[in-house]
Amino acid sequence: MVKKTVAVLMSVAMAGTLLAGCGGSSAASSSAASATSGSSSAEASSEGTAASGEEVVLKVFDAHAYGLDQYAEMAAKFEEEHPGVKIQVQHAANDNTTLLQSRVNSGDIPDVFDIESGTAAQAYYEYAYDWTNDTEVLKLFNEDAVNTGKDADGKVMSLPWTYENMGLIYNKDLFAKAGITELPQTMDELEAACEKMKAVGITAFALSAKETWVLGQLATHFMMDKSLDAAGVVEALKSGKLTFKDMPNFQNLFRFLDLAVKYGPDKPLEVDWETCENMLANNEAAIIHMGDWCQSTLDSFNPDANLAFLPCPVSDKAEDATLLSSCNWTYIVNKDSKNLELAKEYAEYILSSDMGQYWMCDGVGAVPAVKTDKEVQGRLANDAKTYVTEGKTNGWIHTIAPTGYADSMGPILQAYMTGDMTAEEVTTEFQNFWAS
Amino acid sequence: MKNKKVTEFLIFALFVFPAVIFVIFSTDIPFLMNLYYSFFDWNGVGKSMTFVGFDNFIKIFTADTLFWKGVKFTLKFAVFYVVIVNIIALAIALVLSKEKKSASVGRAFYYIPYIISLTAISLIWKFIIGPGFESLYNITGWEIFNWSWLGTGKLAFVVVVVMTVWQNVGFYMVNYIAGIIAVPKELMEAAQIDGANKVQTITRITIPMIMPSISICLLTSLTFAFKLFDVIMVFTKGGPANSTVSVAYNIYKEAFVNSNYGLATAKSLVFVVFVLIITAIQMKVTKSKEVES
Repeated sequence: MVKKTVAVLMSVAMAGTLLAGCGGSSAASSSAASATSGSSSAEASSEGTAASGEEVVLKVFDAHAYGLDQYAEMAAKFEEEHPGVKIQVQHAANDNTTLLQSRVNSGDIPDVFDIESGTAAQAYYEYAYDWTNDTEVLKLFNEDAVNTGKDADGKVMSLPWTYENMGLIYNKDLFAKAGITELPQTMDELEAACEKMKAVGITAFALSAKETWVLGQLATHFMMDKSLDAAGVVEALKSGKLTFKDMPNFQNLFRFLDLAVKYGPDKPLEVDWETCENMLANNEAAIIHMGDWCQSTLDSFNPDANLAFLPCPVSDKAEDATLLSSCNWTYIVNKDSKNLELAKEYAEYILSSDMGQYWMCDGVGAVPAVKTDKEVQGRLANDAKTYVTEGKTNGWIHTIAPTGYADSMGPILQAYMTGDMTAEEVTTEFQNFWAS
Repeated sequence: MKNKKVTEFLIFALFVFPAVIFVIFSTDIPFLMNLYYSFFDWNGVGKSMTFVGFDNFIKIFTADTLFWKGVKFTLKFAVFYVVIVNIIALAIALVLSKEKKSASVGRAFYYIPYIISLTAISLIWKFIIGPGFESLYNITGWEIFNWSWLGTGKLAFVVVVVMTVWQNVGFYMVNYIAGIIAVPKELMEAAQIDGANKVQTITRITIPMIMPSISICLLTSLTFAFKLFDVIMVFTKGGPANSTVSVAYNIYKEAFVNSNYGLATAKSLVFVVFVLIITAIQMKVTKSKEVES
């Protein structure tokens, strides 16, 4: 009988430990989730913190994996300046929205986090600290950049990160080899350039058609109306004032896709973003559609590649060709944070301080949204700057489009490229998506 | 006497309790929450939800073409996958169920893909279909190696089927081998004495005797096919042109990309009902064929 009681007691104890394990698993599972999705969580700890009693942990979610070394340096510096503060960063390049969403849903809201500005960010604005009255901070940033973080009522709910520019990127060496001296600015010139390159055996296009987001972004060039800019176009589309049928340049999208198939690789739909960047950097293809965010990958494939932006031709008029430029990532401070002041300070620090600028300019290689005269590392970003000063840029449509834009429309454009859908059907699908 | 019954029950409860707790917390409660969310319009992030009654369900049945495309794909996949994987696994098991050294080496080879991580597998297949096929094409000149396997809807379907069969065949093989080994030797010997040839012993004795294994394998392969998600997520991303969107992938996208959490939960409920009906039919059919040894 005694034996039995002991056995029962032991089983109870075991069940207890099981349950205890269950209770502690929320932390463990979140770290497991971050590990599986290809993100790395870097916990930079400084030496000063251990000595000073109680530790404040600031939870930061960073949706990129760019300039990680510089980020760690920056975070370490912040910890040094704030003894007793520990910055816990989760870098999540892949599936960042899913990760952030599950963190918010499970009550583990990071104190500072970033998300794509526009439609995606708006969902999080009810958790966001309102910066409208912090004019001292807002003054630091360019006004157009601050505008990307405003909600419907014009309140500043998030702070901008860097400018990102997208358009066609071309390989200067290959253009020279094909004898193209003037950059193509109209559809006809683009086709002529492709023909010239074909004549000397160069693959003109490596459009990353496997990635639905690339196709989605590409299509926005052909929706752009320079007189309305991005916000105006989106509004006109939503209100029904503008339809895809009446859009002057939209049908040229199909001509562009035809060119990309005709002068592109044999299996256009198998080209993912890495392949297309690799081909461009290693002189295997002359034109891709991408943005300056891919500078670091391009450098890793071939640091000596001679590349530059090419404003995307969309019509017969040279002045319609533009780059699209926007601050498309935006930082939100959790207004219910236990360490709100500290979180605000950290957000301001990474986005505007010298160390923050070092991260953005040298690490990421992009033009920061904060007013600065610091030299930027990325060549593409510098190249884009000239177009920005010339006024040859427009804003981004796809970030302020209805949710799921690229994921819904990208596959439709793929269907056009495979020949499963006609241009007319695709146009109707676009219209239906925006109308619903 | 009564006391003994109580202790027995307590011990029973003690052993079952942890499992029940786990099932409740990881399956039952989420299921009920799922049911709850399906009546709301919620973006998955915000604090406010709008009650919309059955609107989500109405939307699924009237307006959601992509979901039904996913259902079609998943059913088609299920048919091909279940049939092919079970036939191949059974055939391999019949060959490798002999108790020889070479047989165990063979079993290991077929089992290896099952324990490799999916990311590695998708890299392997990316290589096979990319540079692998390319050099095969250069050597043989056969058009088949020059097709755009991942860039054409129909071919991408074939790739998904082949890949999942290749990966999972080892698992079903092990199940079948376990079943075959358990078939009493006397039955085989008796049949041989009666003059049955090899094919007859397989069709008349082995297969009826391993009916429990078959029904388990059919069930697991069927549920695997319905839940198909990871391969799609890692390998095809539903492309090209939505041709490989499975239901699970469509639900994931609806919840986390399109931010229609309520609609996504409603879709998952519709699909649960679907799967329940099909598996119930499948169980009924196979159970009726099982024989006692």
